[in-house]
Amino acid sequence: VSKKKMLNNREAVILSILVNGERAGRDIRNEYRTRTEHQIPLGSLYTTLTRMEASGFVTSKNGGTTPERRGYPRKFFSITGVGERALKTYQEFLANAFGGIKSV
Amino acid sequence: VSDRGSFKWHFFIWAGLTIIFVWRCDGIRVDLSPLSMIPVIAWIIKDIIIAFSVIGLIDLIIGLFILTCAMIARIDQAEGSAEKCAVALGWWIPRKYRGLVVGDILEDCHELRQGGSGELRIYVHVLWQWAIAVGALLPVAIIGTIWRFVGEPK
Repeated sequence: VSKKKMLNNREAVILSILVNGERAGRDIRNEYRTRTEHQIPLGSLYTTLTRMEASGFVTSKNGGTTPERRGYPRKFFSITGVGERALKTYQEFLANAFGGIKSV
Repeated sequence: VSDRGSFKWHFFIWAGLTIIFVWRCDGIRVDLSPLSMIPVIAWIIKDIIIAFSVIGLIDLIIGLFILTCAMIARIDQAEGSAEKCAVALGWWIPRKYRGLVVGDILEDCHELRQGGSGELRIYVHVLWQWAIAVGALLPVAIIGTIWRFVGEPK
């Protein structure tokens, strides 16, 4: 993974969610909030996911709808091989950067 | 034109536009689709043009306050109106993301209602999510369109 393809924190969390299987946008938003205790608005989420898809970290496919959505479709996102490698690189980067530090 | 005379004209213009806006709202209770927003946009452009004068700025602030009050007054507190609002506001979200964002907001509305939240709380959620969606996605869509026409920079 090149320097340019280094993940930021938000992308890394999203990929770590997708490692467990494909998710719809709203499910990613909810799990992101549970894991990080930070909100990610839908607009920001879809901007990030679009950028990640353009970088090849995730792929998407259209899904069905539910009565609550009144016919509006869902989109499911899943991690790609490039995404998995980028996440591994990110984890290694964190381990190298902070591994030797005594707890503060 | 004196300040007093100028203010009088501003008053009549924004009062007229507000009435048109509220009248338009009455059709589906809350209608923020582009057509309904035309008087508001016209009114804002008018105020931007005259914003260099102090009276224009005061007019803008008062006008925005009254317009907000008018909107809140027109909000139908009946169950399901927040969803109507979300669908109407969806016009402002780029087509590529519209279905996803509006669908997700509608699911949120359903979940909030199941959790016992009031209509006003749901409205706040809808408006917050919508505002961020427009702020984040509209620039992306505009830039994407520009790149499509002129070619993306290498």
